[in-house]
Amino acid sequence: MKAAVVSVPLRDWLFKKPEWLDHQTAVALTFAVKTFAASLLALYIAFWAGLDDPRWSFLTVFVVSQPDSGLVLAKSFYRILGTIAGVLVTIALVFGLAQYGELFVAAVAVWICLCNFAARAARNFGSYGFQLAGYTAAILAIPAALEPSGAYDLIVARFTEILLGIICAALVSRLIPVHELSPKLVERVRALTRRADSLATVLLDPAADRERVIAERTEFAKAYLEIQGMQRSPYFESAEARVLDQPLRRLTQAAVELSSIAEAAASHLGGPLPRAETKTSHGNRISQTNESSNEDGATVSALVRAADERDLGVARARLRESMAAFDRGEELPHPNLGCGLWSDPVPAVLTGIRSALAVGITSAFWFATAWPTGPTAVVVAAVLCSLLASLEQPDKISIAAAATVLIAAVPVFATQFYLMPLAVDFPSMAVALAPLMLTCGFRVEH
Amino acid sequence: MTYNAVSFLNSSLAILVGIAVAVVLFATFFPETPAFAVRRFRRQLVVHLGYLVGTSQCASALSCYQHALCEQLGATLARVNDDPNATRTCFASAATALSAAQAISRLRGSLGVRTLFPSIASETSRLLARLSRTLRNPSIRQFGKRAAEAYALGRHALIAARGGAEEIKVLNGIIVGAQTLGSDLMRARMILQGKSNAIRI
Repeated sequence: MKAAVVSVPLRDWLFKKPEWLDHQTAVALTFAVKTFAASLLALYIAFWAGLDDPRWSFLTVFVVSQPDSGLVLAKSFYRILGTIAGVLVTIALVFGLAQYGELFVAAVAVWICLCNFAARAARNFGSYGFQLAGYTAAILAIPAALEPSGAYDLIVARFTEILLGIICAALVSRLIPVHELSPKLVERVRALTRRADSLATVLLDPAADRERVIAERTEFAKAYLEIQGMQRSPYFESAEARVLDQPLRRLTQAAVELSSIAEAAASHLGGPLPRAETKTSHGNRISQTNESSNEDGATVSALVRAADERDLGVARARLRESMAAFDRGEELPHPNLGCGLWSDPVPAVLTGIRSALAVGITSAFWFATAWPTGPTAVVVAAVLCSLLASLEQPDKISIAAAATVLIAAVPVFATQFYLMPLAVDFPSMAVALAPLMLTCGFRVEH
Repeated sequence: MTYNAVSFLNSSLAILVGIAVAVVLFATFFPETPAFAVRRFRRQLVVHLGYLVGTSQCASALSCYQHALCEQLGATLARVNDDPNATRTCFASAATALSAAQAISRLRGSLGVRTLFPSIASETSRLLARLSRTLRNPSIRQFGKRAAEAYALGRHALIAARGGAEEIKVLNGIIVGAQTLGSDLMRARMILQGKSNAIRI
């Protein structure tokens, strides 16, 4: 542990980058170039290997790419798991039900419903894995069912192409100078501890501005949520990141404990023990302190205050101790807590039902009108519902997605109909694709 | 590669239809409004408080409760971003739940003290068992009842603690835990009645 932490400055010195490379625009440009290079590599290998539809490898690179390498590797790992699950279900659906159209679509809808339920209930990249399992089945099963004779080849080809895209994205992400996630995570956790300390101070200050209290609380909760989202990904990054995992968790835990105790203490300061009697709805008279005397009320208040101060003192001391131990690179003998997060089943069930309905409605429209591009609409509805399953404010994001499609249609049209016909070989095709794909990469990072 | 403009436009239309169906369903089929998110957040607080009452390893369970609550609060705030009233209700509920969790932890911790008065110990166990049932099926009326019982326990412990400094030391956790739990349950009633603005947050 000590060796790992001590070695970090040496590593920083060895791989020292110019400061301008950390500027947001430079980071976005690096990311765009790196992602485009990875996608071209995937496309080239797919052409060289004679894969059925190389664009899937190209597309996969953009789907899994993230500015931080730990995120790419974690995302790739869960994407592989999700894709494998999706492929297995596709095989079962296509070979079992492809000849029964309505039943097949109903089975796809049920599978997407289950996956999106799980995606909403799970967190972070686990959730992503479930999404993948859902929409991989939609993307593969519907075209395969329309052409049952070539179904197996199609499924194997898609799986190979997606796998190739994932490998290329992960490889380039590790080889080309990258943003590592663990230093960012360490920085965020340190900021969280400072924020916890400041939140505790503000909460216990009776003269503190109400708006400031709300702002501090909001920032703390959001910072914690962000750390939770990042905490599992560095595991895939390096041995050093894995060593830092437990100390960082302990530090986060100490920060949360301090802020929670401060919240409780602040709520006791804000009049938790009013002296007035309260009449409950069922007629019981409740004295909120000792009924008999004000003296007992004062005793209780003093005891509560003393207990809160003691707990706060212990929490602050634990945070300082954890911080100092982390700085020294030492292990603390605290037990490892395997805390589970809460999953609310009701929104998850609603998300699953919405997804199944979306597949059902678009399929009904397709069957009723015999629309030639109906399968595309079904696949898009399934994919979008999967993507929206775990997002906050999904209605706003789906409207943004529709607007993006409308706006992007123009440059995509220009690329496909004016630039691509000029391409005669692989390098010229890369040049034709460059303006659109580099812009996309740049925007993704932003 | 085919360069067919009609096919391109058809595909674009199909994409838009797919997106439109998803948008309409997410916006109309039990949409996740800020009020819905706040209701679900409160429900989670209560359900998991019930688990906390029933657990045997109270110290680590409290830590896990604080952790999970903080994460859930962050996620709920992200969903109710534009609604200041929902944000205030979330904070009020979270502060009350954290205080109640700490009170439960204090009561449970005090039960382990061997020199605790048997009558107080059994009253505390009874209160926690009833609270666990109440949290499984929460109602304003039941919260009021449990609050009354918590205050009664606090009073009994205070009367028993009048014997001297040693008694106060032994019963401190029960007095503090019961009184704060009582006031938290009263505040929880107010939050359930939609009066979160009555609470300092």
